[in-house]
Amino acid sequence: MEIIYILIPLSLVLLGVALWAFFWAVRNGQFDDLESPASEILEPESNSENTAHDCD
Amino acid sequence: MVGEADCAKKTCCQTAKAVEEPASELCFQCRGQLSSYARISAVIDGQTRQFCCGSCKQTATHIERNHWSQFFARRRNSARLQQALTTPTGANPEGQWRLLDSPDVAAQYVSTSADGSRELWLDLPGMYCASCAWLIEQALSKMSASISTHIDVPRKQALITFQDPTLSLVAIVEALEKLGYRPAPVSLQQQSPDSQHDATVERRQALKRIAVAGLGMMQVMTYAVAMYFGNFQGIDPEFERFFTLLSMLIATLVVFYSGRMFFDNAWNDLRHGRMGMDVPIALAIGGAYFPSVYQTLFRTDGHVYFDSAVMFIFFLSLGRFVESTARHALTPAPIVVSKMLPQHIEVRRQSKGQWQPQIVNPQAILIEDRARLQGGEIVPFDAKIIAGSALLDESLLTGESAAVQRHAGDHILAGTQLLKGNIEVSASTPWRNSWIARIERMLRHGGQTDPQASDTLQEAARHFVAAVLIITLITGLIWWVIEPDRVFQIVLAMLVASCPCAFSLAAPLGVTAASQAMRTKGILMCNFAALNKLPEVNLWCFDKTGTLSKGSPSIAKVDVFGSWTTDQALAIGSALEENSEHVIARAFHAIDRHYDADAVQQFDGQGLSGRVAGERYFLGKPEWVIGQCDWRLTDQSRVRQLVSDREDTIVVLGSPTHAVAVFQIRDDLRVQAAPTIADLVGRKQQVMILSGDQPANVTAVAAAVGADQAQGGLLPQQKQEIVRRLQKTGAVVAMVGDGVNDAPVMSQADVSIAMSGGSELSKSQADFIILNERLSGLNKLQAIANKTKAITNQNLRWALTYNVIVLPLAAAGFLQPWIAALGMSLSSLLVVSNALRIAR
Repeated sequence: MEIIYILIPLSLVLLGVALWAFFWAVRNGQFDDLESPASEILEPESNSENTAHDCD
Repeated sequence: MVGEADCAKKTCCQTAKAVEEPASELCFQCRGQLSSYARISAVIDGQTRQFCCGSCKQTATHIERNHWSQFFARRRNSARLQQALTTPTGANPEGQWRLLDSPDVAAQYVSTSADGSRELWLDLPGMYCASCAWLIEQALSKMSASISTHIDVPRKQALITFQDPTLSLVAIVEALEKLGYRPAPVSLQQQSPDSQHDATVERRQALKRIAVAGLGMMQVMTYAVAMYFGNFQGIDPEFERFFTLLSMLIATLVVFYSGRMFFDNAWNDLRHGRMGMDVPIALAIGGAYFPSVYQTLFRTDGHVYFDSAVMFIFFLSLGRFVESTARHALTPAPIVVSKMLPQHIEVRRQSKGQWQPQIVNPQAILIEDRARLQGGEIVPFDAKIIAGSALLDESLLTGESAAVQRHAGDHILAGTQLLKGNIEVSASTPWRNSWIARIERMLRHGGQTDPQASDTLQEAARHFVAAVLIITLITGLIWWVIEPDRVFQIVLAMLVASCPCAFSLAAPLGVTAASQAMRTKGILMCNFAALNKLPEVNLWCFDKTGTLSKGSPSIAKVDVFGSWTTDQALAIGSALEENSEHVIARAFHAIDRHYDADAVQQFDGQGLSGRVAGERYFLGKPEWVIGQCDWRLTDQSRVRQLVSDREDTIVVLGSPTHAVAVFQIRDDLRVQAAPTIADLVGRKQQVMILSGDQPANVTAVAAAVGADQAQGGLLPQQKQEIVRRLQKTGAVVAMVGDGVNDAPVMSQADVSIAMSGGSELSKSQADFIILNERLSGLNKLQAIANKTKAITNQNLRWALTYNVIVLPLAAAGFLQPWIAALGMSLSSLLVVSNALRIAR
């Protein structure tokens, strides 16, 4: 059972990594707007195509 | 243009229902209902599409011409987001920003950064979804290569950054107006104290706190389970010690990071001599944590409560986050009436005997300032006409739906719209005394006297908390005398058991669930306090135009004579009425023009005549048209017959030799108006119509929908006064309204409800907004409120009962603190799941 002396601290390290990742995401505004990005991804190719068309 | 303004700026879908391929009876652009005689179509992407008005068609063809038609495909995908929170005020903002490019004005709106790029923030109230954002980006990127756009959909704002110093700001605004939006530049002054920004920071903080508390809780719980089982099955003391130390480590992190908020709040409350909800929470957290630390470090025989401490923190901070998110999302930003005016006015001001041109804000106007106004503009200040005459639409301020003709010497009000004509005006009052400033003051006043639905529950919880603390103290002292060893355990158990968590969760949870339930029914709750008032409402007041009726006249029936067809008659009618801004004429604006009329003559209050395709026609009131023409007697008598049969406004079209058609024009009542009111009456509610429109029309509508009482010709203050008087006699009033002129009465009423098609102003005052424009939502509203009240009361009773039963047990020492904590969690869980029933 002594293995838990390693496993539990290891799990805590993972916990720390998870928290760090979450904090990073929050800081970068990933959770500021949970609604509109879902519909923002539509058809990126035709989008750029169109812009090019408009520019010339 | 006015009739079109009603629908022009709804670029996205009006309601979520219009998701599929557009049905033939919906306008392709704004998804508004088409009236049965609407005849405007255009070919978009190879298919013929129907439109409700000329400007919808214009917007759609503009979008197609620029190869942006993907927009139409895109918006279907995001229909879920397209809730029409904002629709036009009915005023046409043409030229509202036309002075934006002058250096003085631009300096108020544009900030320049170090690298020379300039930034402009725009409010875009018509934007509902990401496809709108896409369209805007496309349109602006076309204007200049150096332009970049950042769209903030939830805030309905756009940040426009550009290098090109020659780029016209007016052009940007106009480009967006062409797409059907109503952009309003945000001045630098408004930007600086950014409350939205604070909200974002707060939200991020809360998320981090919850993450730490949640993950921490899982860890501590895991160790706690190991130790509980260890108690039964045996556990090595060294492992137990290891788990305890780990729990302490994590709990310390959680308590000081996530739980700090509660300590801060509690300290604030205490410092101000209040007994807040956070005081016992802080005591319970501290009471579970600090003694456990003491136990862990200096004694090893007692029980530790780290799990309870982190669990409190996690559940409570999660609950608060959910509540505050709902609150932020639902509260629309306050809007001031004066925003509808042009923000910068070109006036001539007399100084030292000379008239100097100047650009001023409406608030800075002086008596005698002069300005020249033309058709389409909004009158920027209360003024007297000194030259010219004009047709004015005063519906925004007075509720009167018919346009009025004003001549030199007449007074006109800020906020009215000039439909036709050219006038020279002279300011008659300073801003302070102007009509619109008075409306603003009334709003503020109404808001103050509005009986704050006092949060009796919070008050009760406070007393409860104070009482519990005192009882705990006394019990603690008694146990100190009897058995000093157990004091700590018992006090802790009592604090945990008495924590009014379930009690304090009951009300906010009920509100959240109710707002969820309403959302699914197409109703937006903006003011949580109003929910408690709703079940007590016994008098419903309705505005007429735009609330009970659709607010835009449409052709209800066409009777043709001889060999004429309906389409021919409509085409001639629309050609003639194209030149008229009379309210009736708006009905004809929903028809494509195939002909041009020339030699059009208007006859005040009677009708008009003109030549269409070489033939002369008369269009107007029946008797007038008959008088002008020389018809066969059979035609004359048939027209008279049709007139006498109908209750609606009748317009007759004829040539000098024969009658062509009789148009029946109607401001349709909403389909659900009568059933909804019948339902209200059926539930022993009083129904009253308060309208600014002509009394005759109002009585007719009252009879049609079955309302008990009706009053017409009312000014905004009179409406407010009537409601105030009724409230004095004990009525609890719900006001359902629409226009700007309803705003004061809405703030006076106990509960206010706005239609989503209404003006910004009435919506910003409203407690509830009906998003789908279906009046039947009103009945659901009260049903939901009643259910919420019942379930919340149930929850409160349960929470109170639980606390009352558990507290003596804890005081008597029968309750281990961990059982108390478990009980508390279960009790909260019960309250949560019960509250969820509201949303079902």
